[in-house]
Amino acid sequence: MISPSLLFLVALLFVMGYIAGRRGDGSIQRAWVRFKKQVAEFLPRMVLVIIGTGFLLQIIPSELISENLGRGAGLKPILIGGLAGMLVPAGPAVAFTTAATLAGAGASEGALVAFITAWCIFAIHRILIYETSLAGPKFLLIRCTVALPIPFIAGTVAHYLS
Amino acid sequence: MKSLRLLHIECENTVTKQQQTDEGFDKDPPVTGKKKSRFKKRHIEMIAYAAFGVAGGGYCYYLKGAEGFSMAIDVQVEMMAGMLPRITLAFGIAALLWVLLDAEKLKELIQKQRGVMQLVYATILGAITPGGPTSSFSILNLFLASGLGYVIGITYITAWSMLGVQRILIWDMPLLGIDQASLRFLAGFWLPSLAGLLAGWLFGKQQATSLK
Repeated sequence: MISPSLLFLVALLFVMGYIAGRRGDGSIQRAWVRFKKQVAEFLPRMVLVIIGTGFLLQIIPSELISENLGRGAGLKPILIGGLAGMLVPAGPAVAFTTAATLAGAGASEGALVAFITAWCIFAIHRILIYETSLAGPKFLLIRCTVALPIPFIAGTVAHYLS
Repeated sequence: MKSLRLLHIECENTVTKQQQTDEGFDKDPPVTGKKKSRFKKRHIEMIAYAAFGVAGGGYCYYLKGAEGFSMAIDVQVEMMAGMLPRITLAFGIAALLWVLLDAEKLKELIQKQRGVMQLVYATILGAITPGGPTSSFSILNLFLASGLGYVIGITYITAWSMLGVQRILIWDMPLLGIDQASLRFLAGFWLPSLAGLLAGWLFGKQQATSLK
């Protein structure tokens, strides 16, 4: 299953590996240790989430998705996608596989952009667990206020670009 | 040459709470007392994902019978064959990015810029900062402490959250494809600057010198 994205990733890996190797300061070894840690951390989660998603795709009626989140529904999918993205209380494995599931069931590009962008900016679990302690409520309030329209703008732009 | 890792250690005094992140990039500074609970949390998470799979499988069998169940298995095999090689490659790229970046130099670059270019550099630095909230908020704190203000601070942190290159490589591209990832980037690359300008306009009178 060779695709442009796979080739791009392979090329990028080689280029960055070459740059790191030329440094000769142990960068490659440090990257290798980090790579092993990340794979051990996330790959098992990914496998489990893919299994759950595969079943979800069978259970969720695709008509329901295409009716409410499909291109034919105009700008409504962007609103739904943006609001849903703000409410996903989980990490990237869940958010992105949910998006992949919705994409497979016929959700529009704009809705997916709004969903992912909203999750990236407003991931509720990240705000509650990390940002309230790292940033403090005042900065968090400012950040959330000014970023509120972003998922919907991004979704609308994506809708017209696609 | 100071890497993000060193910068992170430097900033530990300013940010000491919660060394974990959902994407796992900030787990290097070990917090011995918390190791056990992190281990426990990881196991609970895995059990929850497994339960999601089992419940989904059971409900799928109940709704669609053996045929629907077997179709779901086919979809899962196809998804795994498509995604896992990409995700593995992306983890390799993210690990290399993490060791290659020189955040200190980029921060100095931002300070040297004026006007729109400062926004552009803040967006780029936000996008390429690997790691979770601990790394990025440490850098943000340095920006605010050096007088860069809300405009640059908000631009940087919004770019980090929505345009993070590591996130695009690890999650967007493998799971949603290069077209959808490019579309999200194209639709949103200018929005962190907008958020920064909006913050400057709405809250600029409040001098931001630290996060709290």
